[in-house]
Amino acid sequence: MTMTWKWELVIYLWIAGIAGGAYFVAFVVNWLTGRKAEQLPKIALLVGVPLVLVGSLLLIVDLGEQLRAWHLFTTFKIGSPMNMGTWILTLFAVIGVVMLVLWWSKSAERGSTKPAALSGLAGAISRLAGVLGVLSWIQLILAVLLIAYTGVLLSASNQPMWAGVLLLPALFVVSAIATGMAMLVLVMRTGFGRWVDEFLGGAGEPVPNDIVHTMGLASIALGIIEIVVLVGFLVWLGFFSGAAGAAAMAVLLTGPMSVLFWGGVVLLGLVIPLVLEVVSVRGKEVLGSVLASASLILLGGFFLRAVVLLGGQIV
Amino acid sequence: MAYAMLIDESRCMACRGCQVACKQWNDNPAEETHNWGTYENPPELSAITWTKIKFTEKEEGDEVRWLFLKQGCMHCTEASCEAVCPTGAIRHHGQYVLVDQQWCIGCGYCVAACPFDAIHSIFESEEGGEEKATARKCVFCVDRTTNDLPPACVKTCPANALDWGDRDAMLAKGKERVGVLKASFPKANLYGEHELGGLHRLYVLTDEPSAYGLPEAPRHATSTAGGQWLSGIVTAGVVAAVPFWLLFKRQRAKEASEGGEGQ
Repeated sequence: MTMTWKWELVIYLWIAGIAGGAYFVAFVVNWLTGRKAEQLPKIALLVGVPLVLVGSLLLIVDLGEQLRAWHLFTTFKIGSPMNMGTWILTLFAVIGVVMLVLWWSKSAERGSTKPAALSGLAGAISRLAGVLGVLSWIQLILAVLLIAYTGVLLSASNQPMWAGVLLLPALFVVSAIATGMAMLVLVMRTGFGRWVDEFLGGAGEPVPNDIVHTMGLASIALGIIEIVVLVGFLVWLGFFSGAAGAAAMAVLLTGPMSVLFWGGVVLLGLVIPLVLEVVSVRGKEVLGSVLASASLILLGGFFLRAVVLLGGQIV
Repeated sequence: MAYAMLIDESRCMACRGCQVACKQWNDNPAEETHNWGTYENPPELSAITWTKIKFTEKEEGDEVRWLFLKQGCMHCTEASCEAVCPTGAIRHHGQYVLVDQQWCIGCGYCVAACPFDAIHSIFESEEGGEEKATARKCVFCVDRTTNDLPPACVKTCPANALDWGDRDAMLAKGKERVGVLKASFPKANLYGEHELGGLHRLYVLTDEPSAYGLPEAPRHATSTAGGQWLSGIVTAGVVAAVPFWLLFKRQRAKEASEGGEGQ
């Protein structure tokens, strides 16, 4: 087929995955630690909501008729993953904004210096903050749907690299969670996390060290899981999808996408960060190496979307 | 009454008159092409080329057989483009699968979903360069066929390879022709009767469909969508358990034991 979806869509798939994955990780870690990491969901949404909005903008830019984008909102069509994606993205962004505003309103209670009018507004809104608990669960469901749908979107097609490949949604989900976690680590470890927490009504305490350490271990596990799923995806293509699937695998491994695949996805995005993480867990942790591996994981997520989206259209 | 187009590939001589008639009736501009080593041109269907003859050379022993396939939208009963269209711009109107050109947003999803690569949204604009617009494809000359005229390609075909009429009559005619062809082409078959709920382009072929480049078992784009959703959601659940739940459980256990030692 002709190359219909280009770089706009690559970037969109990547940043939507980061946004959904980051909230997923943030919620799960915060929940499993008995709410000792309240900072994480705040970081996830303060960065994730703008990412989702930029992504939506890219989606509209990619349309043949941009001014008709509103037509998407006139239907609710469960059978069309793109239509479902429209609603998921919209709800994720709206609830994300509501949650951010509610968190921010709590900061008024802390008596931080603010113009009186703004302070009054915050005080009024903060009475509604009780719904945050419910919203955070709804947002978790939306985050899961968001990271799942990008893979479903591509698999519900007839391009050999995507069509009905059940491991494609799985691969995108794992990559989204890994890149989302990398984004959280980057924000947290560069000190912005405490600022975010303070701005959104927290005490500005850093995330406890043991949680950060366990997240590092989880990141290693995620890298290994992603390698396993990636190998499964390739095996599925190469050996269980007929001649067209084998051709799709060849596009990735030896064809036009091979440099990006081996260099970008495998080496930069998976192997090097894994080595850096293992070294920093076993020995003395070096901040530089933590930041480098998180950045590389983010970059690898981008290359993964690029080879699958662009490569899928040249089989 | 459902109409269908019957395409008898055993009669096609690849004059490509249908390609020209299609462009003329539907006001589609020509494409700038170059010699790529075959009479087949343009190389692919596009947003401005709605039908074309695909050439396939098939070697059988010392002989080379030249197979011709008139490509274009099949107007599937179970149409993938219609299923994935996020705005409802692609819909069935009787046997016609049509894109509402005033409603389509040009997202390109139908392009990726079509099992026959028959719908497109990118074309070379006359000013040069590529342009992305609404999705376009064969419309079965709906303005002609709803006025008791055959589609432009059928009207122009000088080899009697194309016919248009009641689908049941076309099926009967196609089967009869296949029966005749079986004598000299044992693999002769009729394509399109049952595929995707029944196509409205029926092909009389002298060889198996794959020899012409047709999918033997065309797949509906969303046929496994339920499983795909499940795959993504289950993966998220599994990842929440391993590594997250396991690792944090271990961390809590460690904290508890350290706390115990301290007392």
